Amino acid sequence: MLLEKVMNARTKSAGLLAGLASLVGVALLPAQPANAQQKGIETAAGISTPSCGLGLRPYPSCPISADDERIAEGYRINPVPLNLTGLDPRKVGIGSYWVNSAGNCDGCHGGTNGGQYTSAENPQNLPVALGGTYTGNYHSSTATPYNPTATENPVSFMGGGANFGSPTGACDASGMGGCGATTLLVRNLTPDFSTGVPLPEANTLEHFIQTLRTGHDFQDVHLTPGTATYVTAPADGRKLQIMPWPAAGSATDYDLESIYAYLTAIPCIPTAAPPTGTEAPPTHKCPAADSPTYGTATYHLYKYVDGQVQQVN
Amino acid sequence: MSAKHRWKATKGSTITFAAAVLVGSILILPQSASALDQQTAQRIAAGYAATPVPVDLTGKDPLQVGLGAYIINTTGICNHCHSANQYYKAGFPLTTSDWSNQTGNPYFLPPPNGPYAFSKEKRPDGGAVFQIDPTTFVAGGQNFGLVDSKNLTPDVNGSVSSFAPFSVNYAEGGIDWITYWAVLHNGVDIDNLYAQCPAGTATTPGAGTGGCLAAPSNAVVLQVMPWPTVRQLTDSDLNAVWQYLSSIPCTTNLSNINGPSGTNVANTYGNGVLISTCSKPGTYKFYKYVNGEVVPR
Repeated sequence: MLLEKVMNARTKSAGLLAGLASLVGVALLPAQPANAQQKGIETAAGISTPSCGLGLRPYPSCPISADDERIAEGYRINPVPLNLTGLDPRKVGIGSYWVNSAGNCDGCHGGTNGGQYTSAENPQNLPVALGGTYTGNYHSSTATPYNPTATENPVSFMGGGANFGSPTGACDASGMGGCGATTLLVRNLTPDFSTGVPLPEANTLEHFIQTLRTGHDFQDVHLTPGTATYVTAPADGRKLQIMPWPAAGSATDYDLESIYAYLTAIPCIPTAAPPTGTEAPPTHKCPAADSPTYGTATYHLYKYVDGQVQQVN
Repeated sequence: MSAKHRWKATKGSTITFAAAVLVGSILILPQSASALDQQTAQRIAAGYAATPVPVDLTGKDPLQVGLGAYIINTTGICNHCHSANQYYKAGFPLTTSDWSNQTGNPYFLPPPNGPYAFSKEKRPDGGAVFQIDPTTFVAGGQNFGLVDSKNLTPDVNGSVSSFAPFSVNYAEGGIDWITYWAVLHNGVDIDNLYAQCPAGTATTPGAGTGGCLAAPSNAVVLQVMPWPTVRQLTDSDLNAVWQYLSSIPCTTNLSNINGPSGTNVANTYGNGVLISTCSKPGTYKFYKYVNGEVVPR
């Protein structure tokens, strides 16, 4: 549906489209539904427009989002069942919001047994009708219960394992370290249960925040000469390579705590076996009863309504 | 930008929209008025602390600009891909992959084994010392195999907006809010860089120069940009991002500085105020958010 609009947009003048959409949107503005999720409005004419910022001024502005809107959106777009035991559900919602929207964490951290999207569910793929593989926005074939309002692949969500090392060991071209290493495995961000309690990436909250603030790698996998993961000068092997911790670590304490809470709540995925000759991060231990089998006693889908989480299934 | 030429063919819509602006002057809608929660206030403060470039707040909502700065510079990590080389290089001019002058690069060792010499504690309030290189900030040009990342800064010559007759600097080469929203939601590549390869043929490199993208990739939509997740932002938060990107100085297109030589024109900074050569005139300043107010640093 959106795709058709995209195709149309290419044959029309986008300026005209935007102008029309703006006018239609302005006409519609008073009719915004009370339960609007601050997402786009579909008009009768089939033109999709933003739900706000339709004022006729050079820089139209939306009312600033309240955190309740972000929390509701966080639960709406979360692709996996969650274990909320002992967690602040508001923080889990905010964590999901950042991880699954602007942060796009699963874009790199999506597990190697499926990646961020299946081919049929990847919005960047060509639709089936045009000879491609894309069947629609939402999951149709993955593990149940799945969240019908999310798009990312739950089976490999945050499982890590892809190799971001340069085959020649060259420094990352855009300056994110990596010098000398031919193997830089994306970390598994799902909770590890080795100690009996879920610890995202086997890190405590304190270590997690310190890692993002300073880049410090508590698993120290880049410090042993002779291994494929060894990092050489000028890169600093005590720190995470490639991972954009300098930006992510500038988030507020509340948002980092929220991201940690969310990563604590998601299901565990076992870490893939590391390539020979590398120092791999510790293998995740997943409790057999809970994960990655969805819909067990402790893992559920939720939505956030009127300031409360509600279990969906 | 190749989009430029197509936008120029839309004079009709400009006239239509100019008429709408006149009507709109009567119907002008209220700006944001909702209560600010504590978490969002903290994000706005962090956003103004994090922006590596000064902003022009004229005509914008200062709270939304700060929030946009937060999303771009922290949770969104946009500059990670949208910069040819994101960390500050002593002496500003871009060099090649000789890393020796990257004093702002936190992935690197301090002397004697590396150049890293940045300290947040020592950063003066005026923004004269940077970790992020302001001359490459979200100016695109990093190579991703098929395409280079796009320049997200405003471009006075590339405006697609019906407001172009007025003095505006819009995000990403001149994209107005509704078009920006549509791009992020539909993923459409408004620069139209790739054609779809005929069925059964393989991808041919060369964006905009006869290259094509083979199925299953859809040439209509952006392939590297993670718009399927970025569009999950609330519309208000996406508007904040657009307002921030409309507030920052223009930077001329950059090529990947580690590849073929680029055509970078560095902006000139003096006393924390940017003298831009490619934006419409504006007052660019660094701000901070204190006690509920956005005030100059």
